[in-house]
Order: sequence, then C-alpha cells, then structure tokens
Amino acid sequence: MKEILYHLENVGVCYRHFSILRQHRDGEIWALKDLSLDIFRGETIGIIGRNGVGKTTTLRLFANIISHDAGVFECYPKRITMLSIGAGFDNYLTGRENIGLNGRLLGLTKKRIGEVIESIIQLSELEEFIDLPVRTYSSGMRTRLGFAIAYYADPEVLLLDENLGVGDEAFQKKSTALIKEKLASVNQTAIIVSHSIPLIKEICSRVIWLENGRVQMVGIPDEITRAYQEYVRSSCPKIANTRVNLTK
Amino acid sequence: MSFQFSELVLFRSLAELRSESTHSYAGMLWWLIRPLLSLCVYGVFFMLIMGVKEDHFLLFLFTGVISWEWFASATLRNAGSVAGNRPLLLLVKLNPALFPLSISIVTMVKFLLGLLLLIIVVACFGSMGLSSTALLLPILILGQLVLVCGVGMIAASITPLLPDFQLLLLTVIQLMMFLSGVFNRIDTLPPTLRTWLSLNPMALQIAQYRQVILYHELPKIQDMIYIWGFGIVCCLIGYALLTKFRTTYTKIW
Repeated sequence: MKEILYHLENVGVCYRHFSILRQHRDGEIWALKDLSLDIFRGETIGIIGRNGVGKTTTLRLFANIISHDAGVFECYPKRITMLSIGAGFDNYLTGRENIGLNGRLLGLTKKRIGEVIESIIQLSELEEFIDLPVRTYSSGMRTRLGFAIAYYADPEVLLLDENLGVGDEAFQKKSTALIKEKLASVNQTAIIVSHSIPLIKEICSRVIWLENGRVQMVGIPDEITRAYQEYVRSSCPKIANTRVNLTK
Repeated sequence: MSFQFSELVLFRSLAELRSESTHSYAGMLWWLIRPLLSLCVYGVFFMLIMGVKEDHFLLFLFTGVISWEWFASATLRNAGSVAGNRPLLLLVKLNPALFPLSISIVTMVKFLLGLLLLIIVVACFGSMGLSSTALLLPILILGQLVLVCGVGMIAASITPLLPDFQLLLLTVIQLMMFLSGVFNRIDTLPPTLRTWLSLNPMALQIAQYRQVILYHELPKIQDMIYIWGFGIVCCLIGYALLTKFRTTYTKIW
C-alpha cells in the first residue's frame, strides 16, 4: 500500500487584514476553499489554473509555511523544500559562505554540506568565482548557485513554483534535465505549479486544476489539461479573436 | 531546540558578523570605535558640561554604556527582525526565533570587545586593578544574553502583528536608559524610587558589572537569580509566541 504524505479534508486558507485591536471581518480573503485530497509518496502532482486562483497559496500550505483556517490538514513528511532560488543570500558573503548559510536554511546538516559543497560548486559552474562576494555575481550566477544548493537539499517533498529550469539556455536545459531525473526516482514526491501544459503532461502523475480557490478537477494529466485548455479558450474568446486577427 | 537549529543560529550569527565586518573600511574596528564614540559623547556632556568630578567616572560610565548599548541595540533590531525577514519566511519553513537569537549573539560579540577594552584599561592603567570577582563575569554575561534573547523574542513576536509597537519601543528604550543607572548609581537614589528601579533587570545587571569590575565586590545572589529568572521567563514566553504565530506572520497583509 502506498504511503500517505498529506491528507486534506475541506481545507480552507484565509488571508486577513490583521489588527491586534479588532478583527476586520470585511478584510478577509479566502484564497483556498474546500480542498480535499490525499498525496502519496512518489507522486508528482501538477497544479494548474489562471493567475490568482490560489496555486502559490497551495504550495505554501504544503510547505508548512502558512496554516489552514478550515478543515483537516495532516502533513507527515519532515523535510519539505520549496525550490526557492537564492532565498536568504547575503550579498557581502562569498559564494562558498552562502552555500553554508543557504544550505542550513534549507535543512542540510553541517556534515551533509561538507559532503556536497564541491558538487554544488561544480553544478553551479562557479569554480572561479566561488570565493568572491555574491554582490559581484550577475543575476544568472546567483540563480545558478541557488539552484545548485536547492538541488542538493534532497527533500522528501520538493515544491516547485514555475522554476523548473533556470539561468541561460544551456543551464536551463541542464537544470530541467536534472529536475526531471530527480522526479523520475520512485521515492521522490513533488508538487509543481506551472503554466506549461506540455511539461505538466510530461512529468506529472496527477493534476489539480484550481479555479477561484476551489478544486475544479483532479485526475490524470491528459484529461485535466484538455478540459482546462478548453475552459481557458471558451472563457477568453476576446483574447483568442485578437490572436486570430493578428495572425491574419 | 534541536542541535541542528542551534547550529543554524550560531552559523547565521557568525555569517552576519563576517558580513558586517566587510561593510566598511574599518570593518571590525567599528565594534570598538562605536562604544568609544558613545563614551566621548557622554563624557563630554557629563564631565565638561555638567561638571561631574567623581573619581573614575569615565570607567563607571563606560561600563554602563557598553552593557546598555548591547541591550538597547539588540532589542531595537530584534523588534523588526521577524517582520523584516517576512520574504524569507514566505519561501522557507523556518523557526522565526532564528532571527532574534542570532541578532542577540551578534550584539553580544560587539559588547564583548567593548568589555575587553574596559578590562584592559582597568587592569593596566587605572589605580584600581582587577580582583578575583571579575571571574564572575561569564555568569553575568550569560545572564544578560538570556535576558536579551528573551526580551528580543517577545519584541520580535509582537511587531509583525502590531507594527506601531516598534515605534513605541524606541521611546520606551530611551526612557529605560535613564532608569537603568547608565549614568548614575541606583543606590544613591531615594528608597521608594530605588525599590521600583530594582525591578528593572537591566539596572541590576549594570550595577553587577560595576560591582565585579570596578568595586571588587560580589554581586547579590538574589539579584542574579532575579535577572536569570526574568530572562528565562521572557525566553519561554517569546519562544512560545513565535512558535504560535509562525504561520500567521506569513498570512498577514
């Protein structure tokens, strides 16, 4: 039997305009409503939907970064990492020092960092610059370093928000291939938010389509993405017409 | 608190010290220059303008200034630490206590340099010298660290929920400076006022530093227990608040 990692029953998440003096009932936004779902070890879940429907909120909920305000939310994995490129970098520290800091923030132990530091440097292709302060790096170099650290963070559940591949074209191919390879492993669980339907179809075992904070459909990728694309086309006829006119 | 979290706190503190030291040309020297400049400002005011003529007043003042600056700068920075790191908290699941704890350690290291300077001056240049009572300093320093961490965690936990708190805190810290015996001895004050001031752990803490460094006296055991107790209770409250509100901080708008 598959090992269950998340169990959600009618989960809701609400953002409030918080005031310690009084609760603003009118300042409530329910970003997620009635989400019911089980996620098992080894699955790759894709989340699709238009902007502002609650995709990032769902990821933050799975990452244990935000709490739920309604329903039952059970989360069993201990090491969950959102592939957040370069979160917490200190510009005045060198690349090597930032690997130590960022790696620890992502939950790596001192011993593990010692074991993988050379691999991280090699993967980021920053051998010559690793002992220079990060403020001297280009944004591409920062992203590469961030990706390499996150890649070696080795979580039970990997959460990705749009950024499967990063950096220039060559590094993008390399990083995408590495992530795909990681996701192919039997025990790796991942939850991916993406607007790229071909990617979702290629790597996900199940897809959740969110609309206005609610689950519209859950199921196999081909079926859900087809329904989603039809919905987008039918709900945005103006955009579709404009495109047709432009091509004429 | 797990071993891995303690290691993260220590690593982040060292990283911040290293980072701060590269911000300016004088680097780490600033950690010595800053208390010396504060001392000059207060020295000019009290000795030249107010005409204070007490023996060793500068050493008395320096002891108060460095320990107070540790408490005040840590508390003010801690108050904004969780709110200021919200973008990071939105990306990585972290225990928010990391921020106030590492700031408390960073500010302690700066205090230790000031203290080292004070000890060198007292031991080598003053007519007083140092006595064995100075061996109690590590216990006093640890006591203040617990206090700074506790007050800092409480301040850090409140600001994201009530941003006005940070503005109010500035005034409270200013007032507290005059009520902590930085510039005067508490035991020369009227008894009623003295009783109230002795509830202020920083007033007792500063008096204790002076007792062991300048007057070669043993500090009162009940004062030490009070400071440690106050600090531990604040730590427990602050840690509990930060843990309780961890996932709320990321949802406030």
